[in-house]
Amino acid sequence: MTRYVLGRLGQALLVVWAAYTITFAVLYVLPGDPVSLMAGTNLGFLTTAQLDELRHEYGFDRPLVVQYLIRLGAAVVGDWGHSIVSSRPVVDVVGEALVSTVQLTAVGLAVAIVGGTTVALATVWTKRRWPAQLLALLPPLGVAVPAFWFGLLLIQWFAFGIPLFPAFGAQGPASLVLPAVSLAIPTGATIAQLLTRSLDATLAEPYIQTIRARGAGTGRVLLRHALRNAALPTVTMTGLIVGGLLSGAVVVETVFSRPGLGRVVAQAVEQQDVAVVQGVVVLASIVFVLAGLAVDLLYPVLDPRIRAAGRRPVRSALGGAA
Amino acid sequence: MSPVLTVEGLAVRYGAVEAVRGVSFHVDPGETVAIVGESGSGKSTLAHAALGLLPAGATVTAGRVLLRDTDLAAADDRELRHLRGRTVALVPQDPGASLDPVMRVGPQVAEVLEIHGLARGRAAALRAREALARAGLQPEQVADRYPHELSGGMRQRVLIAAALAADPALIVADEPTSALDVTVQKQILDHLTALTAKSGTSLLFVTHDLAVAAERADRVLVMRAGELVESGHPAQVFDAPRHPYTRELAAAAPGLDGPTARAGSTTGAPLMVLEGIDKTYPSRGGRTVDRPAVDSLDLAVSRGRTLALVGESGSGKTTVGRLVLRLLDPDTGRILFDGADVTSARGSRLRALRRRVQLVQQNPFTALNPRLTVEALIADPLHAHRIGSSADRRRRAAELVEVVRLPADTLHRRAAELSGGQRQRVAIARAIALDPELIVLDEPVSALDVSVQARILDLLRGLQRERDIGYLFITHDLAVAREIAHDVAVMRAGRLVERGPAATVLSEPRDPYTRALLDAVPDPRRHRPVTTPAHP
Repeated sequence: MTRYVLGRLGQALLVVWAAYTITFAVLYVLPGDPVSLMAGTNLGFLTTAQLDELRHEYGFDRPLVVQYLIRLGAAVVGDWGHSIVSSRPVVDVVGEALVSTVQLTAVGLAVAIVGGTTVALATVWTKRRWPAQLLALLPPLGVAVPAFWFGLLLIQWFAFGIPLFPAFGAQGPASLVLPAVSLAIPTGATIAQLLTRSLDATLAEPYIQTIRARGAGTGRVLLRHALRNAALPTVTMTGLIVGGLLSGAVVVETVFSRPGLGRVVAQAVEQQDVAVVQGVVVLASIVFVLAGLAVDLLYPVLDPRIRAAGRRPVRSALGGAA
Repeated sequence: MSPVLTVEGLAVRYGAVEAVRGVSFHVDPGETVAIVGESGSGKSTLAHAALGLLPAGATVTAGRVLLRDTDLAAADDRELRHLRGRTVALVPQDPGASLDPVMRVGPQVAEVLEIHGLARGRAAALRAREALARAGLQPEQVADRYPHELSGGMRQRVLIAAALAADPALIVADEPTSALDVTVQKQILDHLTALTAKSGTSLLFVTHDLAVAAERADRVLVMRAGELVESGHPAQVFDAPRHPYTRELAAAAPGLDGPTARAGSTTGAPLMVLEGIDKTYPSRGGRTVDRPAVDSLDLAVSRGRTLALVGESGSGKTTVGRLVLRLLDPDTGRILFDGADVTSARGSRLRALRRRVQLVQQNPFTALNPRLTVEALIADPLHAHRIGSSADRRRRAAELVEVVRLPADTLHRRAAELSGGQRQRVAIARAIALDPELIVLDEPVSALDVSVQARILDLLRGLQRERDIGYLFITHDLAVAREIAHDVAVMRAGRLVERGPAATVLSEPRDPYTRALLDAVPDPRRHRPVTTPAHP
């Protein structure tokens, strides 16, 4: 088990390192260093000598390999450089925005999982009756319609129509409801779709027949047996979705005018603030990797066949009693 | 006493297909009734009807199924749930797939008690342990295990424990041992019949194997194409069948009587020789030292002759097949083909060898790509070895379809549209497409009905005579080995325990393990003592 965890952890570090290296290559190695890029915009009044001084200050005049190693070494100990625009440490800029975004993403994910699972169970439960057909329509609809449009609809209905929740800003838990729901809808719909299909496949397994032959009703069959078996592929998928949630959060934050990573990224890209952009990309890779790691660690909890890889099978447990 | 189960004029339809037509029979308390039939005969539909568990598309169009006094066809879901598990219980077909893989087996046995409110929590767990012990398991070792940690035979015992836990009046056993080794099959059937006899439980036993049915049942019912064609005492049904179909079934069933089909001999130039082969699979985690899958094995297959490699699951026989095909590399030892050392042949030498040694696999349902036409499947090896133009290959495929006695119109059908026997013929045609000198046949008939089995064995014998092909015939079934083998080698735990001409090994076995295997083969003439009065 320890080996399993260590192995997964090693892979995770490798992915983050690769993300760092690739963004470095894209942002710093490609022709035109950040200072020259800026020279065309808001630093246009500076002289060549002043620009060179700036380059020297940020270390852009050194060989690329040296730049890379220095920056990587600093990044490992938590120094991700400074914003070229505001001169504040990237860690602070990204960190402040992250709190609000993580709140939104976490609540959104929870709503997506609970909602998706409920819709999937309800669809399978009501099989062959008219509500099932209605329920089965929901997931494709949720996947097909973009989150920002749902966001606008929700604002229209529950902020202006019936003023239940605030439409904008980030004051208090109530302001989290509408953005989290609109973020959760596409993800929840994907979970519902996948879980419904997986439940259908599981319900066709011979052991479900055996359990029904013991007199178990639909509720017991679904909740005690089918759900846990059917959850396995869905868990993998959810791990992949979390990364998508992060990018969804960027859009939703814009729609609901919430502070967060969305605003930071938009600004950084606009102002070509490479240090901040790289910080966000590496952060996104860390989120992806952590989600994958969580799935890998959850898998053996759900599936004993993975947990017991090192355990010996029972060979001689036949008793003498007849 | 009134019957536990009464089926009166039952007819069941799946859409336009009538699966069961006008079937009537009953099962008395304490009686064991066997339903025998081949795939598609409707025997499983009957079993499910007795549980009130017909699949979604099925409708009862006529007749009644009375469990004691309740008509299952008319009962609602609540009534059915109350009866299932408590009055009628199921021992399913495939123990590998019939237990919830993510739940420990103890709670799975206890569940039936909890569902019916017979016991809860600790009390239920305790009674589950008792049931496991009655089924011949050591509960302290097994109850906390997950299904994948148990062998097939042990899983089937767990399922028997769960079926018997609530003391039902009737047990429906749907092919309970067809997925198990012969020796395990015998133990499980002995145990199941002893338990039901002891508790006075009735047993409705569904099987494709007439010999198993005749050996165990008080009464045998023979089903064919949805109809009951014959019923009676096993001695009568097997020895003096009245219906022509039963006669055909009895004749096709491979047994251990009479002379072996083919004279054994050790002469003839050896074609494929294995010398001192060892093979151990690396264990995951590396903490346990595994016993070798194959342990200092010497084996030879001659041109134009059949060597049957017999053993139970885990004996290493499939590993030997893979070594011969060079799909696996041995740890030590030499493999010679036609006098040349091919142990470490690579690249073009290996490709040349692959052309001369072919494989037919066990499961014709998964061994053929269901989306390809039969023509494409058979021409595939020719394509892989770049033989002939595509017109030549099509012509060759047409010839081969004829050779394996399939109708010419199968060429343009897809594998998914064919029956199991037809698919296995396609697999054989594919294997002989390159005119190989040796074919490894890995349990080629175990997934097939007996009458189909007999025809496939007949085809294989004919092809061998005409083409002088050597067969390495891997099987767990000694009766099948008798039908096809010149020589027999018996494997156990990676080692050869006995080897020789089929006639000698199968009639005068020297090794106790070979004898145990032979004893486990069901013998229809060894009827068990009748415990309840037989019905006319």
